[in-house]
Amino acid sequence: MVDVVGSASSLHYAITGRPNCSLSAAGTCCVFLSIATITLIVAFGFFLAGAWVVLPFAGAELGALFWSLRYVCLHAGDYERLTIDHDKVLVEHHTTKQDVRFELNGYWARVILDCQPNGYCRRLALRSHGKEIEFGRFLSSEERLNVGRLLKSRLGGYLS
Amino acid sequence: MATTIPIQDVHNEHHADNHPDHHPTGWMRWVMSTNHKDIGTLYLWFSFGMFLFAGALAMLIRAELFQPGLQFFQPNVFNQLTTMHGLIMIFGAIMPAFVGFANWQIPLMIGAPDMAFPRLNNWSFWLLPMAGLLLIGAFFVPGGAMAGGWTMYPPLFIQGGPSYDMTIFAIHIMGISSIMGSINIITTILNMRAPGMTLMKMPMFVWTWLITAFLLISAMPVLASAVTMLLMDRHFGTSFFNAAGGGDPVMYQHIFWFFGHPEVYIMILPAFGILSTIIPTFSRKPLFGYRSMVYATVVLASLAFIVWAHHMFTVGMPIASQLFFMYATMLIAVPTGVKVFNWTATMWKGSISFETPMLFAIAVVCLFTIGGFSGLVLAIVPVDIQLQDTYYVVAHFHYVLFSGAAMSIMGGIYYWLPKWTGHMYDERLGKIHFWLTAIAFNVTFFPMHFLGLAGMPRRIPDYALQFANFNMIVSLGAFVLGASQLLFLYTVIKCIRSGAVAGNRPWEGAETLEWTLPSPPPYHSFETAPVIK
Ligand SMILES: [Cu+2]
Repeated sequence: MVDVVGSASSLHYAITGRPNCSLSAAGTCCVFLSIATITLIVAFGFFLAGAWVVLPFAGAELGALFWSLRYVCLHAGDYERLTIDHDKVLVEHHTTKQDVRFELNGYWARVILDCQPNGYCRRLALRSHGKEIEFGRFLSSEERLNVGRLLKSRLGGYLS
Repeated sequence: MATTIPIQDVHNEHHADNHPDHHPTGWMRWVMSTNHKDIGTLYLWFSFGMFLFAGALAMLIRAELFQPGLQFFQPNVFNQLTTMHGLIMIFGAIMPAFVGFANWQIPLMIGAPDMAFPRLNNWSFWLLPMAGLLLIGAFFVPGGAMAGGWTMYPPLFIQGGPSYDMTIFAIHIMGISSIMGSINIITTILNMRAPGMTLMKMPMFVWTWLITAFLLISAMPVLASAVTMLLMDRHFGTSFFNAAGGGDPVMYQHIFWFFGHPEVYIMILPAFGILSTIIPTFSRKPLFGYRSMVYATVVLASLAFIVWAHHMFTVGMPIASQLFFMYATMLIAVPTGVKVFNWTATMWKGSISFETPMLFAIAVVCLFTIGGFSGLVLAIVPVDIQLQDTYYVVAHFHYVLFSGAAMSIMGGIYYWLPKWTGHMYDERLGKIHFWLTAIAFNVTFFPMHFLGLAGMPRRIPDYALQFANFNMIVSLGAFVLGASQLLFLYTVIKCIRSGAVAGNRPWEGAETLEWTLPSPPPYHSFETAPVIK
C-alpha cells in the first residue's frame, strides 16, 4: 500500500509504503485464544485420562503459535517512507526494532526501476555514490512503476 | 532510536532482505527457496514421488492377493506392505499434495505477495524428505518395516524392531512440519488478505484450508504424544499402553482416533475446496450456497472431534457410548449432504463443459458420495460389529481417500497446471488418464464391498477360496489403476516442457484472483494488494 502526501511539483512531499495487515491486534488475540482453548481442553482431558504427555506437546505448539503471532503483531507497524524536502531526499525504513534513515542529495540520486518485459516491476531503488537504497518493498508492481515515474520527474536522473 | 546515515556510509548489506531480487539458480534455488511457488512445486513433486512408491507397494499387495495361497511374500512382509502403503499414502502423498496446493494457491487467491513466514515455509518442506527417507529406509533394517498396521496399535507396536522407532521419529518430523505449515497458512490467510478480501469473499479453497489448518493444530499434539508414549513404553520402562505393567491398550486407540478422525477431514476438506473451485468454473455459474458451504465446513470440523470412537466399536465400550458415537457419526451426513447438494445445484442449468478437471470433479462428487454412504453403513453399531476389519472398510476408505482426496488432487493439478506452467496440458491424454483412473478405480474397489459383506478380513496375505474370483478382478483393476498413473506423470511432464501457451485465464469461467496474473505468475506475485470488487 502506498500513501502520497503532497504532489510532485511541490518542494516538500512524502511517500509511505506499508505492508497490508488484514488482521487487527484484537483479531490476533481472538485467534490465539480460540486455538489455545480448544488445544488445552483436549490436552487436559487426556491428562485426566493418564496420558499426560499430550500437555507438553500442546504447550510447545501453542508457544510456537504465540511466537509467530507476536512476530506478526510486532511488524504490523513497519513502513518505508521517502521524503523530499527541496534538494534533500530522506528514506526511512521503520521496523519495531530499529529506525534506519538514509539521506541522499536530490540532484545526485538516481532512480532505479527494474521492470521485466512482461511489465512486472520487481524493484525500485535510489542510487547515489555507488550505493543503492531500496524503496517500495511493500508496494505492488504498479505502485512501484508509478512511484518510480514520480521520483524520476522530481530527481536528477532515471535509469531503466 | 532513529539514526540518520549519510549515503556514503551505507553498506550493501541492506540489499539482502526478504525479497531476493537475484534469486539463486540451479538446484540451489530449490534448496534455498523461500518462494511460495517453488515450495508448492516441491511439495507436489515430493507427494507424487511418495504416491508412486506407496502405489508400488499396493501393486505388490494386489499381486499377492491375485490368487489364494501364498505367492510372493511371507505374511510378515505382506503386513509390512499394507502398513507402509497406508502410512506413506496418508502422510507422504495426500497431506503434502494439499499443502502444495495451499502454497501455490492461497497467496495467489487472497492477493498476498507470499506466505507470512517464507523461511519457516522452506523448513516445513525440507523436513519432509528426511521423514520420507526414514519411512522408506525402514524396509532395509533388520526385521523389516513396521508391520502392525498404520494405526500403530500396541501391544504389537511395542514389540517391533528398530523400524518402529524410525517410524516414530518420522511421524514426529512430519508433525513438526505440519504444525509449522498450519501456523504459516493461518497467519497468511488471516493477516495477508488484500484490502476488500473479507473473510466471506475468500474463495472456498482458502476457507477449507483455513479450517484444515485449525484441525491440524488441534490434532497434531495428540498424535505426537501418542507415538511418544509408544516410544516411552518401548524404551523407557513406562506402561501407558502396556497391560503387563498396568497400562491400557484401549486408551491408545482412543488417543489415536481422537487424532485419526480429524486427520480424515484434514485430507478431505481441501479436496472439497478444490471441487468448489472447479465446479463453478466449468458450470459457468457462481458457487451455489457459498455461505452454507462455509458453515457446513465449520460444522464438519467441529463434529470431527466427537466421533472418534466409531473406529473402535468392538473394543467393548458401554452401550451408551456406542449410541452416542453412532448418532454423532450419522450427523456428519448433514453438512456433507449440504455440500453435495450445493455442488449439484451449482451445475444445475449451468452451461457445463467437460474438460479434464471437471470430469475429475464430477467423478469425485459421485464416488465420494458412495464412500460417504458406506461410512453411514459402518456407523451403525450392529452392522459395524459384523463389518469391522473386513474388506468393506477397505472399500469405504478408498472411496473416501482415493476417489475423494486423490482424484480431487488430480483434478486440481489439471485445473491449475496452465497457471503454474504457462502451458496447456494435452486434453486428450488428460481425458484418457481420467477414464482409465475412474473405471479402474471402480473395478478395483467396488468388488471389495462384496468381499467385505461376505466376510473377507483385511490385512491378510491369503484367503478362503470363495473370495478368489472377486480378488482376481480387484487385482486386475488395481494393475490398470497403477499403470494409468504413469500416464498422469507423462502428461504433467509433457505440459511442463511444451504445450499450447495458456493465457492469463485459459478457463473463461474462472473468477478467482490468480487468473488475473500472467501464466506462469511472476516470481513475486502481488507485492501488495489488488483491489477486490
Ligand atoms: Cu472416523
